[in-house]
Amino acid sequence: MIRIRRFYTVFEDLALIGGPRLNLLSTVFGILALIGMLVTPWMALVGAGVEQQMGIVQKIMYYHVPSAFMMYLGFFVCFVFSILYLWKRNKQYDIWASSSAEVGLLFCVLVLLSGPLWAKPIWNAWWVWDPQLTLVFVLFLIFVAYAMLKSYSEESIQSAKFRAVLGIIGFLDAPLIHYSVKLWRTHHPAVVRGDSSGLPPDMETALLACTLTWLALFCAILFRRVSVEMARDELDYLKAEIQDRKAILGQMAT
Amino acid sequence: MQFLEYMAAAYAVIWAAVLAYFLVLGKKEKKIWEEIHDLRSKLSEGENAPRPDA
Repeated sequence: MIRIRRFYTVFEDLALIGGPRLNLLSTVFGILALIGMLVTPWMALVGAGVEQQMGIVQKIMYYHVPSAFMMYLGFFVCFVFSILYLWKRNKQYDIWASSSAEVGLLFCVLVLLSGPLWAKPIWNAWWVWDPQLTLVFVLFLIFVAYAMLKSYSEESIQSAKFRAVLGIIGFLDAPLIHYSVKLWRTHHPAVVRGDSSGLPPDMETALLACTLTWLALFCAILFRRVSVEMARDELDYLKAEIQDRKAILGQMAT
Repeated sequence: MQFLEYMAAAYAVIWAAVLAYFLVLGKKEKKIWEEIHDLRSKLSEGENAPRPDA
């Protein structure tokens, strides 16, 4: 119980960070990601060996797999903040949940774009309705619905509650994707399952470096996205303030 | 090298998507801050303006 409390207080503390500090953090992580982006292509293309059966196309894995990790992370952050929002009804939690859902969706798109580019030469098909691929597509559709709910519904407590429920339900699909390789027969290769990745050291190092770069990129994008959402919240507040003043002035004039 | 075009396409698509997202986000942020500055100046002008009942 104490561990759970410690766990969610980390997220509560994260939600307390203000806009200017978020922008600073975003810049720091952005610089780290940029350094990683300059180094990791060399590590993946030159440093890591060429896989014997798949050849050079296997190198797509160095960006496809970290994108999948960041997709999970984005939806997990959304899941935790959605629970916190339903529990404590703090607007900040909704801002963090919706921002992380959007960032998770970005990485989900990267997974869905890079996957078929690997599948075509290996499986001779852009897409197969394999359990793991289908579940990723379902996850994508759930979070597209989440993004549409955010964009097209009026900002209200009711809409935020719906989104929080959708964020929780959506994330429940993520463990199914990960374990679908064990649960069902699937075409998708199992790259990282359990304690060992099963990769040679050069490939493992390149994959780790790419994952860390993607993590820095994830943090940079998420912090910037939250800061934008906070600014939008301030904009809504100012608009409401102007409306109130206009109403008061109208009453005074009559 | 076999299948080089698929690998190049995957890398290009990933970088292009990340870059496009950053550009859209930057544009959105700029528009919001312009609106905020506009509304803030309107509010401060309103505070300095004479009251209708004065």
